[in-house]
Amino acid sequence: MMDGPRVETGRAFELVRQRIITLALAPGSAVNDQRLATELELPLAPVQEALKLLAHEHLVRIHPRYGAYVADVNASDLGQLSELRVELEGLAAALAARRATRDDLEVLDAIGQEQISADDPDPRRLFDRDHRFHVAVAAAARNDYLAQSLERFFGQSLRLWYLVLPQLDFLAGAVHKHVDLTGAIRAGDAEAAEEIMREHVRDFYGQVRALLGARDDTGPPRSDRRGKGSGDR
Amino acid sequence: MTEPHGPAPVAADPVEVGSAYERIREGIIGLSIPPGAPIKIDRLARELGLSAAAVSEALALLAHERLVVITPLHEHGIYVPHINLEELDELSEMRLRLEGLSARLAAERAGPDDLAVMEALLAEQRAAGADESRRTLEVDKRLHQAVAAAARNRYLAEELDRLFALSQRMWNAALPRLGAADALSAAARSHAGLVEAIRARDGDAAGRIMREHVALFHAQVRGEFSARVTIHYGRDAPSVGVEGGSLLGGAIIAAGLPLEQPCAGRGTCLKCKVLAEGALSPLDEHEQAGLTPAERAASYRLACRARVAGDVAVTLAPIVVYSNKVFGGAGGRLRPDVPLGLAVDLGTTTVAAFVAPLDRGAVVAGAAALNQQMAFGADIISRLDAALSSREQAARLSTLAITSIVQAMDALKLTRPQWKRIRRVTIVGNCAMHHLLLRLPVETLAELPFQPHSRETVRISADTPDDPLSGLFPSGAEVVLAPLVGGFVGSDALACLLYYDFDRAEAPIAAIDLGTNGEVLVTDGRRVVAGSTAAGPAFEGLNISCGTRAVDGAIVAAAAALGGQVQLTTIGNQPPVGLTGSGLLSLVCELRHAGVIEASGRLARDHPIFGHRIGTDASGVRRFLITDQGVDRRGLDEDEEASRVPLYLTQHDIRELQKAKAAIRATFDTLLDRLGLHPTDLKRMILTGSFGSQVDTCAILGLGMIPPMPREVIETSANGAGLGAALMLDDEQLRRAERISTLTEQIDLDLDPGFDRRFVGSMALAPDGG
Repeated sequence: MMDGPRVETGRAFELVRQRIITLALAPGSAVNDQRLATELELPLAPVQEALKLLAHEHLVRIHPRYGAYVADVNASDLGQLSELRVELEGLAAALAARRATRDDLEVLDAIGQEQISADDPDPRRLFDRDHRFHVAVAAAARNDYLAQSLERFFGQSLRLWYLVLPQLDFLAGAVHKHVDLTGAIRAGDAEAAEEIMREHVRDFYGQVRALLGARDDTGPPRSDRRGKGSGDR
Repeated sequence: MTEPHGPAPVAADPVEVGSAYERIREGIIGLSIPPGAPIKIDRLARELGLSAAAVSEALALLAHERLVVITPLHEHGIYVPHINLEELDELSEMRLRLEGLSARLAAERAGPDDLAVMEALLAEQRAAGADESRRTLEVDKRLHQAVAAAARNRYLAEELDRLFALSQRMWNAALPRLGAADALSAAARSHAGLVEAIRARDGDAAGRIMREHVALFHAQVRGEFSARVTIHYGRDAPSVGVEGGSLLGGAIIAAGLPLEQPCAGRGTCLKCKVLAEGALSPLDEHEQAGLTPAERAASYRLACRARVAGDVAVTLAPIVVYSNKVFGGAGGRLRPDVPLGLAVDLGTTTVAAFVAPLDRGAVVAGAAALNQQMAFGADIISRLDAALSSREQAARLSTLAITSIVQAMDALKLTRPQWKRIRRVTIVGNCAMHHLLLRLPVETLAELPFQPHSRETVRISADTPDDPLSGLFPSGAEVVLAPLVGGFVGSDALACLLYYDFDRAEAPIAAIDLGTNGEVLVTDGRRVVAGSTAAGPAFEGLNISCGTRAVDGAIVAAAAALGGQVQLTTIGNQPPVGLTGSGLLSLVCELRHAGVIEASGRLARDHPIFGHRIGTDASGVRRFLITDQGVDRRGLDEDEEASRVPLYLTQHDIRELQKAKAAIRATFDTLLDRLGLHPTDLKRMILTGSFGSQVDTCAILGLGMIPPMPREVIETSANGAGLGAALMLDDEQLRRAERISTLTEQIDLDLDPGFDRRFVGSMALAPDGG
C-alpha cells in the first residue's frame, strides 16, 4: 500500500506554523522532526510533510544534508510584505463593508469590545485579539482565497512583530482604529473601511520598521527570479 | 489516524519532487489532467517515470496550493477540483487588486532590462496566430510575470503566480469556446498600452490599464460557464459553474458535497438519486427504468446520468428506507380490483406509509423512510426556523416532506396496477409537519400562544394543477389531510385517539406515542386531554453515538448475562450496526438492573462482572462496550465485506435517554393530575410509535418512563397514528375524527407551573423516578 499524502498533515502544518510564527521555534534554529512529532502527539510522517509545506511558504528551510531549519527573520522583507498586506487588508475591509452580515458585525463588535475592556498587559494576548479581529474582517469579505492569503502573510509578518513585541506601543491606538473600521463596515462604506484599514496596516509597519531600525526597504532589491517546489530563499 | 509507529516515509529526492510538482501542475493547468479527475499516485508515478514518493510529496504541495484536493481515502481520495464559478470570481477579485498594484509598482521601479523583456513578449504575442489561443495565453502569463518581476516584490510576484495558475486552469477550460481571437487580441492591445504606461513611469495609468485588462478577460471567461448548479443542502446552498453538458453528479461533488455513486455512473445502483429542477437533459433509459412514477413526478434524477444545460437547482437530502421487517404491517394479500387507500404518518424523523383496501380498512402492508427534512436539523424548531428564514427554504421543506412520502410509498413496493388502484390518501402529522407540507404560514406555530394557522380538514384532488402534491398520486385520487387538535397536538395524535377509541372509552385510558415528539393522551372516560413534549430523537435512534434507524442489523433488544456477555437481538438477525430507540431502552434497563448504570444515570467506574467493558473515549467520556463485533456499512456496496468495529453506549447517550424519558414522564404526570387520576386508575395504557410493538414494557416501567402500574394494563401497539390514518380513509371515521378533534383539550405544558419541577424530578432511572 502506497503511503500517500495524508489528512493529518494539515493539522501538523497548523501546529508547527503556530510555533514558528510565535517564535516558540526560534528563527534560524534546527528543527528536530522526531521531537516535534512527540511534542505534538502526531505521527512522524505528517510532521515531515508539514515541514515541506512550510518550506514552500518560506517559513522553513530544508537543507538536503543537515535537515530542516526555521527560516531567519529577515527585516528586509518588511517593505515587501507591507506593500502586499496594505493592498489585501484594504481589499478585505472594502469587501467586508459590502458583504458583512449581522452575524459578522456581531463578531467584530464582540472582539472590539473585548479589546476595549481587556486590562491585560500580556502583549501576546493583545496580539491574539488583534489577529482575531483581522481574521473576522477577512471572513466577512467572503473570499476564501483572500482569507487564506491574508493568513499566510499575517503569519509571515507576525514573526517580525513578535521580535519587537516588548517595545511595541501600537495596539492601544489600534483598538480605536478597529472600532472605527467596524463602524464603516456597518455603514456599508467600502471606501472609508478600506482607507481606515490601509492606514492601520501602514502605521503598524511603520512602527515595526522604526523599532527594528530597518532602513527603508521598499526600494528595488536585487532582481530575484524564483524557483518553485523547493524551499529556496 | 495513521499508526503512530507506521513505516517512516521514504524521503524523496528533492529534484524528483520538483520535477513531479512542475509536471503535475502543468498537467492540471493545461487540463491534460481534467477537473474532477481522480489521481492515483502509483499510476501517475509510472506515467511520469518518477518515484511514488516524489509524486506523493508533489501532490501534498499542490494540495496546499488548492490545485489538488486530498480527502480521506474512503471518501473521494485525491482528485483535481472542479471548475467553480464562485472561486473564479474570488480569484479575479484578488487579481484585480494585486495585478493593479504590480503594474503601479512596475511603473515606479522597472529598469531597462525589464522593459526589454516586456517588448520581446509583446512582439511574440503579435506573432502568435489567431488559432493559437493556448500559446497566446502562455505569452500573456509571461508578460504578467515580467511586470511582477519589475515590481520588485517577491511576495507579490509569488502570490500573483499562484493566483494566475489557479485561474489559468479555468480559463483553459473556457478557451475552446471563447471567441479566442477577439478576447485575446483585445488582451494584446491592452498589453501594448500597459507597457507604454510603465515605460512612461505613469503608475496610475499602468494600474488602471491592468485592472481593466483583468476585469475584461474575467467577464469574457465568466460568460462561457453558462451552466450553473446550485445545491441546497440544509441551510447551505453552494453554487458551482460548469460547462453545458457536464454531468450533474460532477457538479455536486465539485461543490464539496457527498454523493454516493457505487456503480460509478452506470445508472444501475440508483444511489445517486437527487432532486433536481431546471435546465437538464431529458430522462435517459436508466432513469426511465430506475425511477418510479412518483419519483419522477417529484423531480428526482440520477446524478450520474442527468446532464446540465443551464441553471439547475439541486436539493440534497438523505434517503433512508427502513427495513420492511419492522414496517411489514399485518400481512395479508391485496385482492385484485379492490380500490386501495394509502395512509401516511408524516413524522418529524420517520415517515410511514400504509396501504389498505378501501372496502375493509384493514392495513395489509407498511413501509417507512427517513424524513428528508433531517438535512435541516433533527428537531421541529430548526425546521420552523429554516421555513421562517425565506420563502424558498419553506418551499424546499415542503418538497422534502413530499419526497419523503414518496420514498416511504415506494418502499411499499406496489405493482403498477396496484398503484393505479389508489383512490384515497390520508396524511397525518404533527402541526409543524402539516403546515410545512401544505406551505402554510408557520409564524404562529413558533410563537406563544402556539396556534395553528388552520386546523380544519384539507381535501385536495391529486390532479389539482400547481398544488405541491399534484402528480404524486394516481390521477383521480383524493388526498385528505386530517384536522389538527391545536397548536402542538397534531393529526397524528388525533389518529391515535381515533384508533384507540378514546371517544368511546368508559373508563380511564392513556396512550403515549413515542417519537421525536412524545404525544401523551389521557381520558377519564369523559374529558380527553392531550399534551406534546419534545423528547428529542433518542427514541428513534438519533442523537445517540451509535444510534441507528430501524434498518437491518439494528439492535432492538439487549440482555446482560451474568458471565459478562451482552446478548443482542437485531433486525433480520444481521450483525449489529447500532442501537434503535427500543434497543437503547432495553440496554439501559438491563445495565441499570446489573448495577452498571446508577439511578442517577451515571455509568459506574468499575463493575465486578462488566468492568472489562467500561472505559473512556479520547475526550474522557465514560462508555460501555456493547460489542466489538459491530459493523459499519457506511459507504460500502451491498456485496462488500464490512470490517468489525466496536459499538459503545456513552454517558452522553444515557443522558439523552434520561431527558427524553423525563419529558414523557413529566407530561404524563401533568395530564393525569389535570384529570385528577391516579396511575392505577387506568384500565388501558397503550404505548405506540414507530417502534411500537417492539418496545420492552419492563424497560419502560423499570426506567420510570411511566409511573408504577400493573403490567396487565400495559399494551404495546405499533404505528397507532398510521393505523388511525388508515381508518380515516373512510369518510364516516373521518367525521368521527373531526368530532374528537373538537372535544380534545390541548394542555399547554409551558404554562403548567409544575412541569419543570416534574421534569427535573423524573430524571432518575428508577421505577418511581417521577
